[in-house]
Amino acid sequence: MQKSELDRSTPAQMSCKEVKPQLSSYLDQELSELEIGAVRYHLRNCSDCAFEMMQMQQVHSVLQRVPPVSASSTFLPRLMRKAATLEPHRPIPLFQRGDYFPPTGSGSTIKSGVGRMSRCLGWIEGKANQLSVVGLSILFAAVLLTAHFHDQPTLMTPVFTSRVQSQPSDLGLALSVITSPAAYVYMSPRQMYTVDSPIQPIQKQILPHPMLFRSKLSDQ
Amino acid sequence: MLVADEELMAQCRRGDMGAFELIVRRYQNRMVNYITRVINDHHRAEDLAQEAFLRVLGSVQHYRPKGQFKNWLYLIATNLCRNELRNRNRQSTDLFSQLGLESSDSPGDQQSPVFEDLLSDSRYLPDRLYEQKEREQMIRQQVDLLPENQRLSLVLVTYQELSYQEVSQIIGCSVSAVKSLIHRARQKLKQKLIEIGIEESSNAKIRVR
Repeated sequence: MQKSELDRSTPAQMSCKEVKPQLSSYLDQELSELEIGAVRYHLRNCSDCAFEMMQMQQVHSVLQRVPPVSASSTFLPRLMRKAATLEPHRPIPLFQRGDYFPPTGSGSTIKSGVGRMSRCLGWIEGKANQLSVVGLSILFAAVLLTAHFHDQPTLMTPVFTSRVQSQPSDLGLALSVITSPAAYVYMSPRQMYTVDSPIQPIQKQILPHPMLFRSKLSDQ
Repeated sequence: MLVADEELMAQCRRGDMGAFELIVRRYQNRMVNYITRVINDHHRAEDLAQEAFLRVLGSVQHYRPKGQFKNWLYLIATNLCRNELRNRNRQSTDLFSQLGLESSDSPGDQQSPVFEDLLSDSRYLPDRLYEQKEREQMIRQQVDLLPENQRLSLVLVTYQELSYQEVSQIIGCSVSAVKSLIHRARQKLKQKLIEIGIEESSNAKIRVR
């Protein structure tokens, strides 16, 4: 009767081979309640593993006896001086906002893949912005010229040509002449900023033209 | 009342440098301590800790509080430490090749002759303070000889008191891998400390059967 009570009260028995790899986790209190009970029970009954455990504890206390190192008194002023020389923070375009995904175990690879994909989309977005304005104005010009030389009505005819004759209107001509160089001039001073990312040491970021964010920058 | 790190980062994103200074004050000692333990060079550790904080500031727009800020900061510092250790290994390999020697893949397997000399000749330990400093330096050197991931996980658990789960996120491996890394690191250290006769306290050595 006494023996069966003892069996019920004692945790599952573990062999030395199973216990030894758990000793570090036991020391750091990283085991479940059940595992702690099993390891503790084993250590009470196995002098070999108990000795191993004692050595682990001693290694731990030897390491902890090395005093901590603190930052020097000049650390903060030096850092703040460097920080003051950094460029003001600028808003990041929509597609480039997925750069930091805190890694969570095995999922980190997938998340970094998503981050890379979003950066690709950001690059495409940046290029598309540049090309779309120039491309559209060239398209308008092409439509107007086609209508002019072939004397055929097109989809754009009601908007850009006079109704009496199929000739380009003043508005259409003015738009086609102004938009192409204006778009080019607008996009050409587009700057590339580099921002340090925590995941990759240096990562190039395409940021929008400062004109777009003039009001926000002036707030900062 | 203590303002949460995430709130300080939100203020920092709005351009509040005071919030950034508070973050630095909160973590500067921990960062310098952590990096010093890993690379075993206090002056370089200060430079790298500054770099880590500047990266935080540079990436403040990317930061989304999905995890703890502290772990993100440790992740940045760990990446810097890894780069530093790799550069150091590359430099030492270059030096060895220039000298026509082969660099050892596992320097931990070799006992440094300097330590042996110091240990065997007590004339080099003139007073207790010096002895204490020397002993601490030897322990640091032994940690320095551990492989990179073992060293990082051991330092994070022993000195920064992070959980295995947090360490796994910072190192980029599973919790069971962290368990194994720490266990192996302690086993190696135990052997080394027994070999060089480091004492656990002033009057008791690590016991050997």
